[in-house]
Amino acid sequence: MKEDKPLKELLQHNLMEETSAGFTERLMQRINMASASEAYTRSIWQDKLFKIIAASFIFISLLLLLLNIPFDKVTISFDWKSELPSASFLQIIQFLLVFWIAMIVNQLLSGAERRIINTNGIREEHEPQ
Amino acid sequence: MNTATDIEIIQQILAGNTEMYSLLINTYKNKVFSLAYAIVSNREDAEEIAQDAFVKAFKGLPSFKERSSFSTWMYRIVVNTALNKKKLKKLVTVDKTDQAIQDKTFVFDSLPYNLKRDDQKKFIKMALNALYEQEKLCLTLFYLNELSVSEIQEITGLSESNIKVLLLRGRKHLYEQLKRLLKSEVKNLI
Repeated sequence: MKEDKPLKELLQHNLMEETSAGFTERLMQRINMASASEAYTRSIWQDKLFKIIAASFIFISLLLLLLNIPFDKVTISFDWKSELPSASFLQIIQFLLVFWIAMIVNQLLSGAERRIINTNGIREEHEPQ
Repeated sequence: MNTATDIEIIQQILAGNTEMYSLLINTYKNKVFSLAYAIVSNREDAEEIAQDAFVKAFKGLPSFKERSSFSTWMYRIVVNTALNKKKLKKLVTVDKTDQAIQDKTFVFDSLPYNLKRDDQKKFIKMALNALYEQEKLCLTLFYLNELSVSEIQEITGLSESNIKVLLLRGRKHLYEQLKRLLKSEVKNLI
Protein backbone atom coordinates (compact mmCIF):
# COMPACT_ATOMS: atom_id res chain seq x y z
CA MET A 1 0.00 0.00 0.00
CA LYS A 2 1.49 3.30 -1.10
CA GLU A 3 1.96 5.70 1.75
CA ASP A 4 0.91 9.33 1.56
CA LYS A 5 3.73 10.97 3.54
CA PRO A 6 2.32 14.53 3.72
CA LEU A 7 -0.98 13.10 4.99
CA LYS A 8 0.84 10.91 7.50
CA GLU A 9 2.75 13.91 8.86
CA LEU A 10 -0.39 16.02 8.93
CA LEU A 11 -2.35 13.40 10.87
CA GLN A 12 0.48 12.53 13.24
CA HIS A 13 1.10 16.20 13.94
CA ASN A 14 -2.54 17.05 14.56
CA LEU A 15 -4.22 13.91 15.81
CA MET A 16 -1.70 12.45 18.23
CA GLU A 17 -3.24 13.04 21.64
CA GLU A 18 -1.60 12.89 25.05
CA THR A 19 -3.14 11.27 28.08
CA SER A 20 -3.80 13.29 31.20
CA ALA A 21 -1.16 13.59 33.90
CA GLY A 22 -1.04 10.63 36.26
CA PHE A 23 -2.51 8.25 33.70
CA THR A 24 0.20 5.62 34.23
CA GLU A 25 0.04 5.86 38.04
CA ARG A 26 -3.75 5.48 38.13
CA LEU A 27 -3.56 2.58 35.73
CA MET A 28 -0.82 0.81 37.69
CA GLN A 29 -2.98 1.11 40.82
CA ARG A 30 -5.81 -0.61 38.97
CA ILE A 31 -3.40 -3.26 37.66
CA ASN A 32 -2.02 -3.98 41.14
CA MET A 33 -5.55 -4.22 42.57
CA ALA A 34 -6.64 -6.50 39.72
CA SER A 35 -3.64 -8.81 40.07
CA ALA A 36 -4.15 -8.99 43.85
CA SER A 37 -7.83 -9.93 43.56
CA GLU A 38 -7.04 -12.35 40.75
CA ALA A 39 -4.69 -14.29 43.05
CA TYR A 40 -7.55 -14.95 45.47
CA THR A 41 -10.37 -15.69 43.05
CA ARG A 42 -8.81 -17.40 40.05
CA SER A 43 -8.16 -20.89 41.43
CA ILE A 44 -11.63 -21.09 43.00
CA TRP A 45 -13.60 -20.31 39.88
CA GLN A 46 -11.67 -20.73 36.63
CA ASP A 47 -9.43 -23.70 37.39
CA LYS A 48 -11.97 -25.81 39.24
CA LEU A 49 -15.04 -25.04 37.15
CA PHE A 50 -14.37 -27.73 34.57
CA LYS A 51 -13.67 -30.33 37.27
CA ILE A 52 -16.92 -29.46 39.08
CA ILE A 53 -18.93 -29.75 35.85
CA ALA A 54 -17.26 -33.06 34.94
CA ALA A 55 -17.79 -34.49 38.42
CA SER A 56 -21.47 -33.44 38.39
CA PHE A 57 -21.91 -35.04 34.99
CA ILE A 58 -20.35 -38.34 36.09
CA PHE A 59 -22.36 -38.34 39.35
CA ILE A 60 -25.67 -37.74 37.58
CA SER A 61 -24.85 -40.34 34.91
CA LEU A 62 -24.13 -42.94 37.61
CA LEU A 63 -27.31 -41.96 39.43
CA LEU A 64 -29.34 -42.50 36.28
CA LEU A 65 -27.73 -45.88 35.75
CA LEU A 66 -28.48 -46.88 39.34
CA LEU A 67 -32.11 -45.89 38.95
CA ASN A 68 -32.35 -48.34 36.07
CA ILE A 69 -31.14 -51.33 38.09
CA PRO A 70 -34.03 -53.74 38.79
CA PHE A 71 -33.91 -53.59 42.58
CA ASP A 72 -36.52 -56.29 43.06
CA LYS A 73 -33.96 -58.91 41.99
CA VAL A 74 -31.23 -57.57 44.24
CA THR A 75 -31.10 -58.13 47.98
CA ILE A 76 -30.49 -54.82 49.63
CA SER A 77 -29.96 -54.10 53.30
CA PHE A 78 -32.67 -51.48 53.64
CA ASP A 79 -36.34 -51.33 52.84
CA TRP A 80 -36.57 -49.76 49.40
CA LYS A 81 -40.12 -48.65 48.81
CA SER A 82 -39.80 -45.45 46.88
CA GLU A 83 -41.36 -45.76 43.46
CA LEU A 84 -41.42 -43.07 40.92
CA PRO A 85 -44.47 -42.85 38.69
CA SER A 86 -43.38 -43.58 35.13
CA ALA A 87 -44.53 -40.13 33.94
CA SER A 88 -42.43 -38.33 36.58
CA PHE A 89 -39.47 -40.56 35.84
CA LEU A 90 -39.70 -39.70 32.15
CA GLN A 91 -39.97 -36.01 32.98
CA ILE A 92 -36.85 -36.15 35.16
CA ILE A 93 -34.90 -37.94 32.45
CA GLN A 94 -36.08 -35.44 29.86
CA PHE A 95 -35.19 -32.52 32.11
CA LEU A 96 -31.69 -33.84 32.76
CA LEU A 97 -31.11 -34.53 29.08
CA VAL A 98 -32.33 -31.07 28.05
CA PHE A 99 -30.30 -29.45 30.83
CA TRP A 100 -27.03 -31.06 29.80
CA ILE A 101 -27.64 -30.54 26.08
CA ALA A 102 -28.49 -26.87 26.65
CA MET A 103 -25.42 -26.39 28.82
CA ILE A 104 -23.07 -28.01 26.32
CA VAL A 105 -24.58 -26.07 23.40
CA ASN A 106 -24.25 -22.86 25.44
CA GLN A 107 -20.59 -23.60 26.13
CA LEU A 108 -19.95 -24.29 22.45
CA LEU A 109 -21.81 -21.17 21.31
CA SER A 110 -20.14 -18.84 23.79
CA GLY A 111 -16.78 -20.16 22.61
CA ALA A 112 -17.69 -19.75 18.96
CA GLU A 113 -19.18 -16.31 19.53
CA ARG A 114 -15.76 -14.86 20.27
CA ARG A 115 -14.54 -15.96 16.88
CA ILE A 116 -17.45 -14.57 14.93
CA ILE A 117 -17.00 -11.19 13.33
CA ASN A 118 -19.37 -8.87 15.15
CA THR A 119 -21.74 -6.41 13.56
CA ASN A 120 -19.03 -3.78 13.36
CA GLY A 121 -16.89 -6.11 11.29
CA ILE A 122 -14.39 -6.39 14.15
CA ARG A 123 -13.00 -9.76 15.13
CA GLU A 124 -12.92 -10.49 18.85
CA GLU A 125 -10.80 -13.61 18.78
CA HIS A 126 -8.25 -13.93 21.59
CA GLU A 127 -9.36 -10.76 23.28
CA PRO A 128 -9.32 -11.21 27.03
CA GLN A 129 -12.58 -10.54 28.80
CA MET B 1 8.01 -1.01 17.67
CA ASN B 2 10.63 -2.82 19.76
CA THR B 3 8.98 -6.21 19.37
CA ALA B 4 11.83 -8.08 21.04
CA THR B 5 11.86 -5.65 23.95
CA ASP B 6 8.10 -5.87 24.34
CA ILE B 7 8.31 -9.64 24.54
CA GLU B 8 11.11 -9.47 27.08
CA ILE B 9 9.05 -7.11 29.19
CA ILE B 10 6.02 -9.40 28.90
CA GLN B 11 8.11 -12.38 30.02
CA GLN B 12 9.23 -10.42 33.08
CA ILE B 13 5.65 -9.42 33.88
CA LEU B 14 4.53 -13.03 33.59
CA ALA B 15 7.37 -14.02 35.90
CA GLY B 16 5.76 -11.80 38.55
CA ASN B 17 7.36 -8.40 38.02
CA THR B 18 4.10 -6.51 37.41
CA GLU B 19 5.77 -3.10 37.78
CA MET B 20 7.38 -3.69 34.36
CA TYR B 21 3.95 -3.18 32.83
CA SER B 22 4.36 0.56 33.33
CA LEU B 23 7.07 0.44 30.61
CA LEU B 24 4.56 -0.91 28.12
CA ILE B 25 1.99 1.63 29.26
CA ASN B 26 4.40 4.52 28.76
CA THR B 27 5.39 3.23 25.32
CA TYR B 28 1.86 2.87 23.99
CA LYS B 29 -0.39 5.12 26.07
CA ASN B 30 -0.51 8.05 23.64
CA LYS B 31 -1.12 5.89 20.58
CA VAL B 32 -3.74 3.85 22.43
CA PHE B 33 -5.43 7.00 23.69
CA SER B 34 -5.32 8.64 20.24
CA LEU B 35 -6.86 5.56 18.64
CA ALA B 36 -9.65 5.44 21.22
CA TYR B 37 -10.20 9.17 20.83
CA ALA B 38 -10.47 8.82 17.05
CA ILE B 39 -13.25 6.27 17.55
CA VAL B 40 -15.30 7.86 20.33
CA SER B 41 -14.41 11.57 19.83
CA ASN B 42 -14.55 12.29 23.55
CA ARG B 43 -11.51 12.73 25.81
CA GLU B 44 -13.06 11.31 29.01
CA ASP B 45 -14.44 8.25 27.25
CA ALA B 46 -11.19 7.75 25.35
CA GLU B 47 -9.15 7.83 28.55
CA GLU B 48 -11.52 5.36 30.22
CA ILE B 49 -11.27 3.07 27.17
CA ALA B 50 -7.47 3.31 27.19
CA GLN B 51 -7.41 2.38 30.89
CA ASP B 52 -9.83 -0.51 30.42
CA ALA B 53 -7.89 -1.77 27.41
CA PHE B 54 -4.61 -1.77 29.32
CA VAL B 55 -6.24 -3.65 32.22
CA LYS B 56 -7.77 -6.19 29.80
CA ALA B 57 -4.40 -6.63 28.09
CA PHE B 58 -2.70 -7.17 31.45
CA LYS B 59 -5.23 -9.83 32.44
CA GLY B 60 -4.86 -11.46 29.02
CA LEU B 61 -1.05 -11.48 28.95
CA PRO B 62 -0.85 -15.20 29.86
CA SER B 63 -2.88 -15.97 26.71
CA PHE B 64 -0.80 -13.67 24.48
CA LYS B 65 0.60 -16.07 21.88
CA GLU B 66 3.24 -13.84 20.26
CA ARG B 67 1.76 -14.68 16.86
CA SER B 68 1.37 -10.95 16.35
CA SER B 69 3.20 -8.06 17.92
CA PHE B 70 2.06 -6.74 21.29
CA SER B 71 1.07 -3.43 19.67
CA THR B 72 -1.27 -5.12 17.14
CA TRP B 73 -2.82 -7.22 19.90
CA MET B 74 -3.19 -4.16 22.11
CA TYR B 75 -4.78 -2.05 19.35
CA ARG B 76 -7.27 -4.84 18.68
CA ILE B 77 -8.35 -4.73 22.31
CA VAL B 78 -8.64 -0.93 22.10
CA VAL B 79 -10.75 -1.05 18.93
CA ASN B 80 -13.11 -3.65 20.40
CA THR B 81 -13.41 -1.84 23.73
CA ALA B 82 -14.04 1.49 22.02
CA LEU B 83 -16.64 0.07 19.62
CA ASN B 84 -18.46 -1.70 22.44
CA LYS B 85 -18.47 1.50 24.47
CA LYS B 86 -19.74 3.46 21.48
CA LYS B 87 -22.47 0.91 20.87
CA LEU B 88 -23.57 1.09 24.51
CA LYS B 89 -23.55 4.85 24.47
CA LYS B 90 -25.66 4.89 21.31
CA LEU B 91 -28.23 2.69 23.03
CA VAL B 92 -28.33 4.95 26.09
CA THR B 93 -28.50 8.23 24.17
CA VAL B 94 -30.76 7.06 21.34
CA ASP B 95 -33.28 9.84 22.07
CA LYS B 96 -30.62 12.49 21.76
CA THR B 97 -29.58 11.61 18.19
CA ASP B 98 -31.30 14.61 16.62
CA GLN B 99 -29.68 16.92 19.13
CA ALA B 100 -26.29 15.37 18.34
CA ILE B 101 -26.81 15.95 14.62
CA GLN B 102 -27.71 19.56 15.33
CA ASP B 103 -24.60 19.94 17.46
CA LYS B 104 -22.44 18.52 14.67
CA THR B 105 -23.97 20.94 12.17
CA PHE B 106 -23.34 23.75 14.58
CA VAL B 107 -19.67 22.80 14.83
CA PHE B 108 -19.35 22.85 11.06
CA ASP B 109 -21.10 26.21 10.81
CA SER B 110 -18.81 27.70 13.40
CA LEU B 111 -15.71 26.46 11.58
CA PRO B 112 -14.57 29.83 10.19
CA TYR B 113 -14.59 31.22 13.71
CA ASN B 114 -12.36 28.35 14.81
CA LEU B 115 -10.06 28.91 11.86
CA LYS B 116 -9.66 32.56 12.69
CA ARG B 117 -8.14 31.32 15.91
CA ASP B 118 -5.79 29.25 13.77
CA ASP B 119 -7.00 26.03 15.34
CA GLN B 120 -5.59 23.65 12.78
CA LYS B 121 -5.97 20.67 15.07
CA LYS B 122 -9.73 21.07 15.39
CA PHE B 123 -9.96 21.66 11.66
CA ILE B 124 -8.27 18.35 10.82
CA LYS B 125 -10.40 16.54 13.41
CA MET B 126 -13.58 17.93 11.86
CA ALA B 127 -12.55 16.68 8.44
CA LEU B 128 -11.74 13.26 9.83
CA ASN B 129 -14.95 13.08 11.85
CA ALA B 130 -16.94 13.73 8.68
CA LEU B 131 -15.70 10.43 7.20
CA TYR B 132 -17.43 7.07 7.44
CA GLU B 133 -16.55 5.11 10.59
CA GLN B 134 -14.61 2.38 8.81
CA GLU B 135 -12.67 4.87 6.68
CA LYS B 136 -11.77 6.85 9.79
CA LEU B 137 -10.69 3.70 11.63
CA CYS B 138 -8.51 2.45 8.76
CA LEU B 139 -6.89 5.86 8.21
CA THR B 140 -6.17 6.19 11.94
CA LEU B 141 -4.65 2.73 12.20
CA PHE B 142 -2.59 3.19 9.02
CA TYR B 143 -1.29 6.73 9.46
CA LEU B 144 -1.48 7.40 13.18
CA ASN B 145 -0.68 3.97 14.60
CA GLU B 146 1.58 3.15 11.63
CA LEU B 147 0.20 -0.33 11.08
CA SER B 148 0.47 -2.30 7.86
CA VAL B 149 -2.55 -3.45 5.87
CA SER B 150 -2.12 -7.02 7.13
CA GLU B 151 -2.02 -5.78 10.74
CA ILE B 152 -5.17 -3.73 10.16
CA GLN B 153 -6.73 -6.86 8.70
CA GLU B 154 -5.82 -8.75 11.86
CA ILE B 155 -7.39 -6.07 14.04
CA THR B 156 -10.56 -5.36 12.10
CA GLY B 157 -11.24 -8.70 10.43
CA LEU B 158 -11.83 -6.89 7.14
CA SER B 159 -10.32 -8.29 3.94
CA GLU B 160 -7.08 -6.86 2.58
CA SER B 161 -8.75 -5.53 -0.57
CA ASN B 162 -11.53 -3.98 1.51
CA ILE B 163 -8.98 -2.18 3.69
CA LYS B 164 -7.13 -0.87 0.63
CA VAL B 165 -10.38 0.43 -0.83
CA LEU B 166 -11.30 2.03 2.51
CA LEU B 167 -7.88 3.70 2.72
CA LEU B 168 -8.13 5.03 -0.83
CA ARG B 169 -11.69 6.29 -0.34
CA GLY B 170 -10.85 7.62 3.10
CA ARG B 171 -7.93 9.63 1.75
CA LYS B 172 -10.07 10.96 -1.09
CA HIS B 173 -12.92 11.90 1.24
CA LEU B 174 -10.54 13.47 3.72
CA TYR B 175 -9.02 15.69 1.02
CA GLU B 176 -12.50 16.58 -0.21
CA GLN B 177 -13.54 17.54 3.32
CA LEU B 178 -10.39 19.60 3.79
CA LYS B 179 -10.96 21.38 0.48
CA ARG B 180 -14.60 22.04 1.36
CA LEU B 181 -13.67 23.40 4.75
CA LEU B 182 -10.87 25.51 3.29
CA LYS B 183 -13.27 26.99 0.76
CA SER B 184 -15.67 28.03 3.50
CA GLU B 185 -12.73 29.51 5.40
CA VAL B 186 -11.61 31.58 2.41
CA LYS B 187 -15.18 32.72 1.77
CA ASN B 188 -15.51 33.81 5.35
CA LEU B 189 -12.21 35.68 5.29
CA ILE B 190 -13.23 37.53 2.09
